[in-house]
Amino acid sequence: MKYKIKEFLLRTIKTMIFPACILLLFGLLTKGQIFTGRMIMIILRQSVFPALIIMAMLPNLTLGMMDFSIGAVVTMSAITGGILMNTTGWGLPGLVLFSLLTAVILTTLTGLLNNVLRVPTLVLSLGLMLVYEALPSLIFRSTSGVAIIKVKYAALAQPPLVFIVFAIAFILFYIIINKTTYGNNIKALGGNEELARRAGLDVDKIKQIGFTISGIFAGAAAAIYMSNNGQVSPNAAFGSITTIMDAFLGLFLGMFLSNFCNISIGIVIAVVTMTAMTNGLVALGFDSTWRDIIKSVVLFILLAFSGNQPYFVRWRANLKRAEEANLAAEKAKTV
Amino acid sequence: MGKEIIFSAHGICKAFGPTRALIDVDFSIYRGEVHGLIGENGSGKSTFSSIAAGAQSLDSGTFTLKGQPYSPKNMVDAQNHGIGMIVQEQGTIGSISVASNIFTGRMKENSKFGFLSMKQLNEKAQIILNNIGAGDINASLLTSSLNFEDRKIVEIARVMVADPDVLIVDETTTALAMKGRKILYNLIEKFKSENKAVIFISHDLNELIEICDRVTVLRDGRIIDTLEGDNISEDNMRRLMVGRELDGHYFRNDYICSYDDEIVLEAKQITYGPFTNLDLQLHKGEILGITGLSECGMHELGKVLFGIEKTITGSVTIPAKNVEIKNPTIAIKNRIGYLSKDRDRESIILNASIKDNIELPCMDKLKGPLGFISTKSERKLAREQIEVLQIKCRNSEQLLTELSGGNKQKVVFSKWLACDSDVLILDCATRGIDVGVKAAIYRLLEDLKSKGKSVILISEELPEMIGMSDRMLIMQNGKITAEFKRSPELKEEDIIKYMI
Ligand SMILES: Nc1ncnc2c1ncn2[C@@H]1O[C@H](COP(=O)(O)OP(=O)(O)OP(=O)(O)O)[C@@H](O)[C@H]1O
Ligand SMILES: [Mg+2]
Repeated sequence: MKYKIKEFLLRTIKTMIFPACILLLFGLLTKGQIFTGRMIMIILRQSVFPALIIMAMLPNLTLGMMDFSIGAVVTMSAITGGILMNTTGWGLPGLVLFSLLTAVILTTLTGLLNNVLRVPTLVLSLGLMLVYEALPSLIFRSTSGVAIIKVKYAALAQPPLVFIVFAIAFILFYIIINKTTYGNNIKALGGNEELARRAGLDVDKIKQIGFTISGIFAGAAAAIYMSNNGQVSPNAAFGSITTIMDAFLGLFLGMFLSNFCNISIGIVIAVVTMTAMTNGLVALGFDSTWRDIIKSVVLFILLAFSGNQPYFVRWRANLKRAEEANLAAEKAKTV
Repeated sequence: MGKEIIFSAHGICKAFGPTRALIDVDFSIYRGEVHGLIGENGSGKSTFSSIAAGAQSLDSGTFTLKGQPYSPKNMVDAQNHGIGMIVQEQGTIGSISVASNIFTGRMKENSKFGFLSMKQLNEKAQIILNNIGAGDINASLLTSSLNFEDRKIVEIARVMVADPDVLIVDETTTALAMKGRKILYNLIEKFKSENKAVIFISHDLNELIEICDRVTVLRDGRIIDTLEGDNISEDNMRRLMVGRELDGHYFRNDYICSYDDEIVLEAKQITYGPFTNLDLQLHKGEILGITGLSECGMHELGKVLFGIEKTITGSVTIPAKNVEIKNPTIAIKNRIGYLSKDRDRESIILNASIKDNIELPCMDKLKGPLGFISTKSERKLAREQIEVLQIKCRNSEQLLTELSGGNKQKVVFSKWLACDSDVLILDCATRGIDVGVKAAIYRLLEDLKSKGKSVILISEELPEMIGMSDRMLIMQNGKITAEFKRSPELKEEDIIKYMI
């Protein structure tokens, strides 16, 4: 029991050490600006969108598939959700419903094509990204995008609604990954497809479901995106990547943290850390280009440092071992 | 006698493109029987058993299991019908837990409405591990944290989940150390006593004689004969497998310990893993055997000598050249070759061709005057090696995934032969290789020795050690406990004393 508590503490420290350092650093640099109650609220609120995107990408990533089209799916779903909400007059429930529907349809389509065409997912998703980016202009004939008219519709991206959406999504994600046979199957399949296939797992079906599930989270992200921005314009020429840039950075950090804690918790901590950093950089007056550069660099330094930590630990253990060995050799000589 | 047939195959055919792996195979096994399946590398043993166990489909033919027609859809389906198989290749997924591995494909039966309790799963898996005598493996651990042998034991546990009536063991014993072998033999004994059946594939003829009631021989995809009782002898098996009398000797037929005084590889006071301040010298023209139990440190020693793992104290050097082996690049440059025990993960590139695998360490040799690789010499090199080791394949472009287990092992061997290594460090070199080719490899080793090359043989196979080495080091718990020179009097018992 005692041992368990000790181990738990150790893990918590290992998980938190890097995020805490970054938060502390930016806290100091901004003279505490990012730690005011208002700022903390903003940071948490802004974290929801990238967190949802990561949840959308992670099941497929575990299966060894990188779906780059997810940003375009989000844009298309946000625009569709906004337009249909305006025309039906169903308000926020309408926005959520239509965003979810659109996203699920699109990612399911991605999954179908992935299974039928059998080209590498990376290639397919880059192609589909262009297609999905063009969809809003093709279907709605609008190049300027869509604006939601009433201010009250912004509520979905504000507390408490935004946190309720997050809580629902997080619980769903946590259960899928940790508590279901499906979650276990994707880990097995991601580990070794051939062995999993031989063991009787239906590989195509598992991948298909992975895409469909990713649509649920992408849809939720889309609704929040629309509600937050009030206006969403279609992208072109891979422009939708910028939508998911923050999520990408968070994803790397989250995957690293998952060495010490559950991945679901890891991504939340990661995303909050990254968002705090963004806000800190804003407060320090960096423009968006510099912010991205600095964030990436910090992340790489972090990962490089932590990635080499096991070597450092081993190096120290080796030093001790060498000392003992030399001592033993001395002794042998004198005898 | 009233013996009841539990499983039988009728007219099984299977082809991979132009390769006919199985031709009209008829086979049957009784309850309470241990039935050996033997044949040269690539004769179709794994193909046959993996079809029976649901890992592959067949082209034509039928199976009967316990009186019913039987056609498995996948391995789990086969297990549910009562046939389980321990495969020849690495069969566990590293990135998930031991328990998840044991229950892969069976999660449904262990969940409620798709929900899963990891704790329960771990407990169930632990019980299975305990039951087969492998309680020291923790079911909740990540599988990649286990060593090669324990991962194999996890596979044994996985097969036992469904409590099979027919157990197929494909070339597993050579991958296991003493501990694992004991587990496996106990299991086979249990199957026999419970009136179930075991199909046992192995290249170790003594082992087959020891445990099999009957032995069926495959050659080039056809059943040649089934041996019974006293007819199960080394000579008979060898003759039927190869299709002709094998002449000449098997191991070395001299009993002279001979080598030059020149030291070609020297370890001074090296420390790593199990061993501390260890000294070792390899001489020119020497075959040096290193043996012990699997945990004694001999596998690690091989890795340190080749520079894959760094020694913590002291050094590994080539005294004549005054070179220190700090990493594999230096080792290869100085013509040292190393064959790892964990073949599929450490020694070959599965998704590359035979040619690409063979030429990997000898690119320098293939370079033309301008530094480009010549396709012609590439092909020639691969063709030569395929011939020397009788690698069974369509051509040198065939991918390694498509080769039989023993033939993959031959590719690893040939890769180091091709680059004219002066020193070969061989960790379980002849694992899974058939007797005919083993003999050929032993001749090659003799040949290398006579040319003044040096070889380190690391293995638990004592007959091979005694049969081939000039000098033998016995290791126990990281220490060298004894050294033997080649002699006709040397017996296995003498050595085992120093191992345990
Ligand atoms: N996936 C595949 N594609 C093409 N050829 C294959 C494939 N699998 C096996 N073969 C071929 O079928 C033949 C039989 O192979 P199999 O693995 O059954 O041999 P084996 O008797 O188990 O040999 P070993 O003793 O080396 O394990 C070989 O010639 C092999 O190259
Ligand atoms: Mg085989």
